[in-house]
Amino acid sequence: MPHRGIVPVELAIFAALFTIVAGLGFAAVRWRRAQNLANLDEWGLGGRAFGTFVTWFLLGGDVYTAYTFIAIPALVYGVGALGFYAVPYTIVIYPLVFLIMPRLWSVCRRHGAVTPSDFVRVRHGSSTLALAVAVTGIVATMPYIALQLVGIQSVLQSMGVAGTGWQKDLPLILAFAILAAYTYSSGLRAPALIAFVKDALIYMVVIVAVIYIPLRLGGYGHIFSSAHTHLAAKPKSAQASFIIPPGSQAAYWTLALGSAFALFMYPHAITGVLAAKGRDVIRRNAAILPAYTFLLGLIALLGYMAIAAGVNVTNTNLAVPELFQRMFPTWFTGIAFSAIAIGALVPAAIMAIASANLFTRNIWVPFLDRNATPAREAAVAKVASLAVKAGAVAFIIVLSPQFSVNLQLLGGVWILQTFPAIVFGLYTRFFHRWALLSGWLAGMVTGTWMAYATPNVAKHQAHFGGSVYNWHFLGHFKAYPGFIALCINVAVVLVLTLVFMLLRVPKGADATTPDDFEEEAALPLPEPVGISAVVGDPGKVRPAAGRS
Amino acid sequence: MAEGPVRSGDAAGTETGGRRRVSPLRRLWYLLLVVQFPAVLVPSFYARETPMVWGIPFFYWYQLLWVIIAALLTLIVYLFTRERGEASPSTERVTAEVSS
Repeated sequence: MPHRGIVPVELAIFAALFTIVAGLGFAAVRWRRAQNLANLDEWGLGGRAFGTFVTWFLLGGDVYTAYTFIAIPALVYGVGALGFYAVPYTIVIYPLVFLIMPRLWSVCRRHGAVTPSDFVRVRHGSSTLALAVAVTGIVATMPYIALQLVGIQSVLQSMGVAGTGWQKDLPLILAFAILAAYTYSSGLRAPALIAFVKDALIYMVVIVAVIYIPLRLGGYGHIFSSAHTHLAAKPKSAQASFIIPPGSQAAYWTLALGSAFALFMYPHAITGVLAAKGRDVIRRNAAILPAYTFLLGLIALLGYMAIAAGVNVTNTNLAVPELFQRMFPTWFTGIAFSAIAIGALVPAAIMAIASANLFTRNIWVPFLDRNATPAREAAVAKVASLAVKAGAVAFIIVLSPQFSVNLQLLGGVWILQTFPAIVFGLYTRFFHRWALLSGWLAGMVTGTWMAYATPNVAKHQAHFGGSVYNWHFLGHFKAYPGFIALCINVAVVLVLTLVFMLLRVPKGADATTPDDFEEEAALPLPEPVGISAVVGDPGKVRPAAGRS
Repeated sequence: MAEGPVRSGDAAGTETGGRRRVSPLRRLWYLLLVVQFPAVLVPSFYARETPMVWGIPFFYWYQLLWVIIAALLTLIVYLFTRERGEASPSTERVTAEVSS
């Protein structure tokens, strides 16, 4: 890519916006001030008190990450139509959220559960299954955080800030250190507050981009026709297409549906849901969050605009930054780049908090420190959030960004395997805990293997070549490995449940009642309690009178 | 579920839970949520270039259009299945106090 050095105006705007956001992050500790931040409900879930408006920004900022804004147009730039799977993916996700998430919210609120694993433990009475879900969540989230850094990195690189030698990663480390500091002190309130700035900037940049850039490039008609010509001219090994060919349709819909199932299994998405103050907030958000999907569809088209503008980059992640630099005046490029970088901070913070919650609630306390007080839980989680961020930076610096892209692909496959334990558990107790655990294992192993065995001819990669697996056993089709693995997972769960029933292997204790899943926020929160209360005595009956 | 522990909370739960539940007839609205799945997950419906709108191939504008349709469908389902519709007003007040 052409190296143009640092543009002062661009960098100054970037630095100014970044400073404002850091200030907001630290100030967030006073926002909706809690009497006592020293427990996970406050630090890790913002007091479970966010209304419709805040939740919209928080979830929007959470699931539409900077990496999405870089990677989806990059995919469209590279392979064309397949990259547009992001649109059906983020369409079908909302009916799922609308139906499923209020139940999860209610039961978690009732039982003081902070993480999806807390719920699994309460519902299936198995700390092993809960541990499996927790570890999957953490391992799947880590590379996702690292990818947010890739987003910041591509912006810094385009601005010419990335130096050489040991200084190369200094700006990145600095940005993340600041992020780590304010997440440590303010908890979930920090990303929730910053999300306002992030989304305002993103909306502004995208709306300007989808109007201004086509005007300069001669209209949408011209953009699409030049993309068509360009994609058609690519070698067959690139597997690029302008309209999804029949052979790739299974890949397209399994990728969309599988990703939709996976997204709200990610700990950071669940954290955003649990931080809402009521079921109604979640249901309402399922109807208004698609505004971001529309935005994402427009962002995907930036990939074609980059083609039409003649952007020629080998690292497709640089396509959008490069497009902005070519099309926008420098001051607006500064704003656009800030939007992407700040767009990375919000999800990175929530992901770190969610992983820290998982580590504390489902690994540290149950296995190492059973008598932890709520204050101690919060202290452990805060330190864990620092460790997670340091880990993510190390990921990027020590290992290659390509490695975290591979792992992120795997992360999606992995997190999808927790779907039966969490979502089936919300509706029925039919499935046996050991069957769910075996299904999880089967899905993890087969999914990992399929992702590993996928080559990418165009990029000369023998493994982890992409999200489409060529299935050859008893028939032939191309599909998302995570989705195939989920089918295997569910089949194992079904069969083994029947086997365990026949063998009369005891089920785990269920601490929930059917009513717990419908509960409105009609009760004050119980005093924050440690894990001991969550594990609880399964037979424990809460006074029914207290509910009405 | 015979092996499960005796859960004496069940009976009480059903009683108090009744008032919040959406009536079976109203639950039919949920069917609207199903429509979007085949509409966007069967690419053979829309993997075509024509008809174009403003130079945008059908494949692209169809899916973008469905973002809006799907959001409207969800909104309709939300409005017609509001859980608090028949609940006592006190529920709302308590909620507000708790979360403020």
